[in-house]
Amino acid sequence: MTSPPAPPGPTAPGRHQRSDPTPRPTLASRGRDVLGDRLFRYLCLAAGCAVLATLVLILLSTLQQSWPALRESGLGFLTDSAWIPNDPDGPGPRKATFGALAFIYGSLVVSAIALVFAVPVAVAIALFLTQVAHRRLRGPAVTVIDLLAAIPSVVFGLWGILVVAPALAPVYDGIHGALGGIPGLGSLFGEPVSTGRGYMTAGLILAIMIVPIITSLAREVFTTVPAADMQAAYALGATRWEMIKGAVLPHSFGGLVGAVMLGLGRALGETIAVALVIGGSVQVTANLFASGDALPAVIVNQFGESGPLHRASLIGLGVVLFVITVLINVAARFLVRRAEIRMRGAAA
Amino acid sequence: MNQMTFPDHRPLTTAPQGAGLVPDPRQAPAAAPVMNLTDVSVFYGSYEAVRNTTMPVHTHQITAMIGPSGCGKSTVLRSLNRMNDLIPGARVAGGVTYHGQDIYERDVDPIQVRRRIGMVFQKPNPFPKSIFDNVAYGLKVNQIRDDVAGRVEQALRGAALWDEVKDKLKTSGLALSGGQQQRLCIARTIAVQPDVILMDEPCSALDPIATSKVEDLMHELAGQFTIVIVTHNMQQAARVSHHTAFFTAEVDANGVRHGRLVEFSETGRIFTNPVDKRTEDYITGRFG
Ligand SMILES: Nc1ncnc2c1ncn2[C@@H]1O[C@H](COP(=O)(O)OP(=O)(O)OP(=O)(O)O)[C@@H](O)[C@H]1O
Ligand SMILES: [Mg+2]
Repeated sequence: MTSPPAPPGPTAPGRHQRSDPTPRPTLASRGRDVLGDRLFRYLCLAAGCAVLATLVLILLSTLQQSWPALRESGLGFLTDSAWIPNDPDGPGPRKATFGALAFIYGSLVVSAIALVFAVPVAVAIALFLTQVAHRRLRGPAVTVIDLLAAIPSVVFGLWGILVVAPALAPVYDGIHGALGGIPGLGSLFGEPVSTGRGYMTAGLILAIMIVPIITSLAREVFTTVPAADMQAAYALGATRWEMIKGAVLPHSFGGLVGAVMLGLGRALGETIAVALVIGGSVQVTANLFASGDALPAVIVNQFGESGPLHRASLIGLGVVLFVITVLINVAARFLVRRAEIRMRGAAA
Repeated sequence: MNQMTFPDHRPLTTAPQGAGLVPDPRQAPAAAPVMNLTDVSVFYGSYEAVRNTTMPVHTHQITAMIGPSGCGKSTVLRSLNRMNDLIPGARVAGGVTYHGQDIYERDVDPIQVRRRIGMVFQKPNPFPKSIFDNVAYGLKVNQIRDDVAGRVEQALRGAALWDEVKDKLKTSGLALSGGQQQRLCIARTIAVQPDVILMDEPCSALDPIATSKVEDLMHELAGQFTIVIVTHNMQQAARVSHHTAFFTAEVDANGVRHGRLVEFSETGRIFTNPVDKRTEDYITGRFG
């Protein structure tokens, strides 16, 4: 390091200098590329913002519309299970009461029943279609299941009211007779309504309605499982079911939760089919065979003939439904994130 | 329950210990070959990918399969534990015996075959589960329920991974480096104490240090298991194996390429004194 380096510059003699120097590579950004990239980014951003803005606008406008009712009822709107839009004694001194608890409860119970029945069935169908069924069977089977999704919900509701509910009423009676006496468990299977219209029937109809969407999403999820993982399981001597447990399901957890969430969203929001078969009564009871009501069903049944406060209260029900859906989805994301970190490490 | 019961030949006491770099060609195989391929041809649909392969797999030795890409090494390897069954349209003709029993016989359950003949793949493929659960999975599948923690530790030690992961057994197997993941896959395979371990280019995704770790490991495991390894790295074949099978692809009269076993011999012989001109060309780098 004794001799100072030659000063840089075009005149400096250097070993690398050739008679025909190769042009310096241009690393500076080229305008056109940057423009396209920017445009694309803004487009994506705009699309994302539009979705968010729509959500916020819906929330704000419904909140504003329902504000008179929410102010009037206060916290009782969420905690009170009495919903008396008109004074039963005719126009008199008693005030109308708007408590949404029975409907919140009904919505959650009916959706829970739907998931309990639909998720295992849908996952099983999806596993069958992706892992077991012969390739030639897959096409027709998928078509049939997708057709199920094409049936209008009002048809499901009519089928429920005309066929399913009457058919299930004696079944409920039987279950009530067998299990009703057991303490604790018995309260779930209490005295059924004679028409068969209630939480259970609504839940079952909903289950049938959400099976196609969960199946179809679960199928997509299962087909993304890497063949390498499945081979690893087989190479250890796994049976098909053991392979599914070890390789397919762990890989699919996040996707499956997403599929279930979409099914749940549909179940929570389903209006007309539930309105037809849930029975329409305002109560909070553990008895799954009892009749009840759900948020969207109440809205659609009462909206036409409502006075101003009643109307605001019904919109309030919509706000509650919206908030419930958002909360459940956020909780699901959190759950998935935690599970993914556990299964794949923080890089996932 | 098992449709087929294999005689349990473990542990064999006559295993060659401390195998050298180039095994002594005079050293006789320790016992009758654990597996034998007789005229094995493998088809994908109507395409005959590999034709008439006949070779033994010697007990407690490392057998290497080398040859140019596409000559059917993986295909033959997969035929040894019926992994080809998983490929629609794949079919194996000829005889593959394991302890004298043809594994393609009608009443043989491929699941039982794979429980004795395990496999490590080219790309590390741990399950999206914790390190512990990755190793324990094979035990569960094989209905081994006693001392699971002890067996997991033993397998991880056997795969030279224990010291690196003993404090984070609960973290995901996918959070390890590629080399660690591959050793985890080896641990997963040896945990169920198979008889034979098939390895398809197990080091091709690894750096030289991880590779040498896995190679050391293979030497150690050879005392306990029989290993068949596919490799593109001829130095690796020369370093680790006792026997080498050289495959190549031949073009038949109709212009169709078929994989073919050219030469099977002790590794020392293959690399110093090959019989076939094509082997010599390949190992001296004059191929194609
Ligand atoms: N699943 C498959 N379906 C159809 N043909 C296949 C399949 N797998 C392999 N083949 C064909 O069989 C031949 C042998 O393939 P194989 O993968 O066994 O070669 P290989 O020797 O392992 O090559 P490489 O060294 O590149 O891994 C090739 O011609 C390949 O195209
Ligand atoms: Mg290969």
